[in-house]
Amino acid sequence: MNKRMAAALVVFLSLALAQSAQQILQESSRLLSSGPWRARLVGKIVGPGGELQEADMTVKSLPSLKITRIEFSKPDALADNYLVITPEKVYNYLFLTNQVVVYPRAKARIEGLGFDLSRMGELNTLAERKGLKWQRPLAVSYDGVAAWKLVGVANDPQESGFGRVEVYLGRHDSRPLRTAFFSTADKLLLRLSWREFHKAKFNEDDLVSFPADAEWIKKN
Amino acid sequence: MKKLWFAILLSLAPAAAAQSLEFGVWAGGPGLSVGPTVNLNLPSGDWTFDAYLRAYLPDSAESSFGLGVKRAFEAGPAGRGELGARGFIGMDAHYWLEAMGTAVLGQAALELRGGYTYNRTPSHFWPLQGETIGPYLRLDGKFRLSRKLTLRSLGYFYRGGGQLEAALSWRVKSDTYTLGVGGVDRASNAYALLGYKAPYAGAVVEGQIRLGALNEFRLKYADRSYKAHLTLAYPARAQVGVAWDAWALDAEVDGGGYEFYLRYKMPLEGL
Repeated sequence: MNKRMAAALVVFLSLALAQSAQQILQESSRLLSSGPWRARLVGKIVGPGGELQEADMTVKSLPSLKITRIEFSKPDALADNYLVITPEKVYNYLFLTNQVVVYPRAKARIEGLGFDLSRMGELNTLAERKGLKWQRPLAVSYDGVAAWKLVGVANDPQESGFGRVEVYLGRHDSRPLRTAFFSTADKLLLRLSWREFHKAKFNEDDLVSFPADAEWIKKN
Repeated sequence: MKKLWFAILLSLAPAAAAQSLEFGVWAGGPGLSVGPTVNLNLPSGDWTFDAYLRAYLPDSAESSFGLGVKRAFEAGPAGRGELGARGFIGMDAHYWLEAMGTAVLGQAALELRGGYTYNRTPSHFWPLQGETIGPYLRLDGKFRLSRKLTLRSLGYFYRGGGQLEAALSWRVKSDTYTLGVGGVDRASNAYALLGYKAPYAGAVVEGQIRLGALNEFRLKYADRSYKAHLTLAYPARAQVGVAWDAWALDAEVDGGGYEFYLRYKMPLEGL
C-alpha cells in the first residue's frame, strides 16, 4: 500500500513539476520579447502552387514596437525582397520593380508564399492562442542541443491556417531552434531552422526603411 | 436652382470615398496656354478608378475629359500586376485611348502600354505624356538573370519611328552599373548606353548617358524628402522635375516650345 502511495506521489509530483508546453513557450516568448534580436532562418516554405521551395531569410525584430523585418535571400523569386510587419501595416518591398506595396495589416498578402508568413512574427503568441491544443512536451536532442519538442494541434484549421505546429526550443536558453507548420492533411507548409540567433540593437528607422527612390503603391 | 445644386452635390459624392484629388496647372507654348487640371483617384479593393478634367485656355475647345480604370491582381511567385485602360476626349472631338498591362512574375517584370491619339499631341490631353500622334506601343522588360545581373529591354513603336534598347545591369555591393545598346528608327541609328546607380548619404543617385544616334544625359536623385530628375538631350531638349511631399513640378523645353506642370495631390482618406 505504501509502495502504491509512493508511486502515486511520484507520478503526481512529476506531473506537477513538469513544464507544460505553454510554460515553455512563455519562457521563449519572454526571450523574444526582452529586446531587439536578429536571426537567420533557413528551410522550406510552401509556394502558392503548393510546391515546397528553399527559404533563407534574415529576421529582425523590435518587440517593444511589434515591428518585424524579414529580408529574403531565397527562394530566388523573392531574393532581395523584404517584408516589414508593423501592428498597422505590412510593407512588401519588391526589388525587381523597386516598389513598396503597403497593405493594411489585416489584409496583408505576401506574394510568392502559400503560407501567411506574417504569422511567423507571432511565434511568441502561440502559447496564448486559443483553439490550439498542446501535447505534452518531449525532451529531445536537436542538432546536438538539448531541446523541447512541442506539438500543437489546431482545433479549427480554417481559422488557424494550419493543422499542426511543431516547435523546437532550447531546453537551457529557451531560444527557438526550429518551427514547422503542417496542413490538416499533414503536408508541410513551412519548416524553418533558426540560426545565428542573437540580440541586436535596432530602432524603428532601421527596420522601417526602404530605398529612397522606390515607388510606393498603397493598397486599401 | 435647387435641382442644379442637388446634381452638383450628387456628382461630388464619389469624392467622399476617393483616396486623393490632384490639382494641377499646366502651361505651354509657343505663346501661352494654361490648363487647370483635376484628377480624382478612387481605389476600391483591387480596382482603381480615375476621372480627369482639364480646361484649356484661351482656346477652351481643346479642353478634355478623361476616365480611367485599372485592376490589380496577384499571382504566382512574387507575382503581381495591373490591367487598365483610360480614355480622353476633347470638346473639339480629339481623343486619346490607352490600354496598359504590367506583370511581375518571379524574376521577370513586363510592362506593355499601347494607345492611339487622334488629332492632337497627347500632351494637350494630359500633361507630360510624350509627343506621338496615331498608334503607339511600348514594351518594357526586366529579367533577373542572377542576384547580381539584370537584363533590361525596351521596345517603343509609333507612327514614323521606333526605338529598341537592351542593357545589362550588374550589382557590385550597393552600386549598380549598366551597359547597353539601342537603336532608333533603323538598325544603323545605333547608340550606346552607360549607367551608374549608387546610394549617397542616405539618398540614391542614378546617372545614364546615351551616345550615338541618340544623345541624352539623365540624372535622378531621391532621398526621403525629395525626388528629382534632369534630362539634357541633343538635338536641344531639356527636362527637369522635382517632387516633394504632395507637390510635383515638371518642366520641359525644346525647339518646338515649352511645357510646365505644377501639381498638388490632396489626400482624401477618412473624409
